[in-house]
Amino acid sequence: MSALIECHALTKAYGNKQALKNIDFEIHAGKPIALVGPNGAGKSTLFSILSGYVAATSGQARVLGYPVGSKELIGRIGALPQDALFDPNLTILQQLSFLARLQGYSRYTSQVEAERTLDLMQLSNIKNEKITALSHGMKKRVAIAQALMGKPELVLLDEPTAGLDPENARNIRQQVTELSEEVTFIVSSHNLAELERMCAQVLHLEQGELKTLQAISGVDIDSTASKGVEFLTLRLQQKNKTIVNKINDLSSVFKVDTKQEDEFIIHYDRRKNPVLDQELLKLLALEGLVYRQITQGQSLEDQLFMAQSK
Amino acid sequence: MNKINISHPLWLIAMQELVASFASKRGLFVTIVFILIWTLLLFYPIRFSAEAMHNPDSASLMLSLLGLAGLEPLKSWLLAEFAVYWVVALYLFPMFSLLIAADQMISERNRGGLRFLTLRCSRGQIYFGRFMGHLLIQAILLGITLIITYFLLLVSNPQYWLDGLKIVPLIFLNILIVICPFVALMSLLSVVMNSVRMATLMAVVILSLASFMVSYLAGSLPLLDVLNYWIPGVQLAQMAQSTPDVAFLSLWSPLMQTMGFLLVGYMVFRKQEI
Repeated sequence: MSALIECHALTKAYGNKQALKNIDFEIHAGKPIALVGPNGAGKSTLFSILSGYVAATSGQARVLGYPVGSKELIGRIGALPQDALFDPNLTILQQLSFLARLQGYSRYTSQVEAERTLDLMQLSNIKNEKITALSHGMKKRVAIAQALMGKPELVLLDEPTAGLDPENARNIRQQVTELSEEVTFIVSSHNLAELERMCAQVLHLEQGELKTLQAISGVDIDSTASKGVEFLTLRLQQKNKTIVNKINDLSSVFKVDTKQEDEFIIHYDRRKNPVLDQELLKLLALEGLVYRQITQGQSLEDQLFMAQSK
Repeated sequence: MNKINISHPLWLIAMQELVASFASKRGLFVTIVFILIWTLLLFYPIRFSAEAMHNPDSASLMLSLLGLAGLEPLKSWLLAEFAVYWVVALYLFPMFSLLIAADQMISERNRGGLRFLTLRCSRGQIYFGRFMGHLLIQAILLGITLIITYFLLLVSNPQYWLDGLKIVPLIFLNILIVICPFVALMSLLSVVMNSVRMATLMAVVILSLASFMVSYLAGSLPLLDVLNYWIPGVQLAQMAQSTPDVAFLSLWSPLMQTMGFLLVGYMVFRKQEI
């Protein structure tokens, strides 16, 4: 199967500053992919290159098998660009219908398509408003609606829930999850808990470099076709340091990281002991300890940052 | 015969530009100014000049004034209204296009709106579609003023109705081609400049100083005199002294300039970060 996105030695420099440094990765179509990294890591630059807004300084980027910016990609990519605004003089429906017409819809069906995506974003009631009459969150949702118009095969969402209220952020997560059967989403966000719920893989950029491409709650996609390494995350009701040694003594456990005094990440070999969670529960009962949560795997935050902090 | 494909992105963008231009405050303001100026011109200078040219008592004064202005050939025009309209439109429409066609790309690029378009059509379609849209706006305004002038002719000299009908398309085509390089210059400037005001100002500076610059350069290297042909409107004085059918012969330079400006602008826009 050919890759959805292929980047080889991709570099982008703005003057002396390198926004992307020799990035290499391949992504295949499927579940949503998270793009994470601190501010200035190069996330928006990567999106801009993939969308054809800016050209790479060197290297190659291909989407759906074609170089970015190719005419073959017209209408096949949807994008929520950061800080892009619609024309303040025309109504939302006029503008979205026009964009749909550019994608090949007729005069009538373009309106139907615009209304469909506005409805997905729960914005049907503002279709005849101008963009200046909308709040920041509504503007963002209109921009997401335009990204979903037509039948894009890849949708790039640059911080789609930043500045949205919890209810609308949740709606967007739901839409992404529902539509991800037909469309591959790449979502950048600083909200790791949100990405963890939506996405199956994470692409981690830092200072323009690709740190990892890995499965969320899993292991490095490229390097370990699973050596059996799994994680359990244990969160206790109260702080307890002494339990670490006892967990370490359980069969197949080879490491316990203490995240906080009441939270531990247990590294174990699942092939040797597929029922470690049950043994852990027994141990907690024996010690008289109350737990708040036991989770298979580790959080995205732990995946990305615990290893670095050591 | 080839039909215009009304779903082609180029045409859709041109039509959208038409809608957006008249919907914007700036577009409305410039259009209102245009209507006011042309109403005044049509109902006062053009009508009075035409009446004077038709009236044997005042004709001698009018004809000597035309002679002083270097527009003696206008004396031979049968249709006085169109004779005066011709001279006024030749100079006024290009100036007007500098104002109305200045924002083909700038505001939208500044607010990031072009990013919604480039995923749905090529940059060439955006760039040339915008040019077409602005030319269409000018064509509509030009058509309206020509129709009003034709009505003035019908009111004052109805016997010339057929001659009027014959000359209207000739004038329309001539002026439209004259406008082309000015709109194309604004297409180019709207790609390279970051504000609408600066783009208009730059156009005025270019048009005002270009002939001085070329004369100065040609003083050192006479070959550079050829650069004069790249100054929009360089042929206007010659056209003003001709009738529209003869003026067609001067239209190769605006056509060449249009292609040149559009090409340079497109080359820049194709690679531009948006």
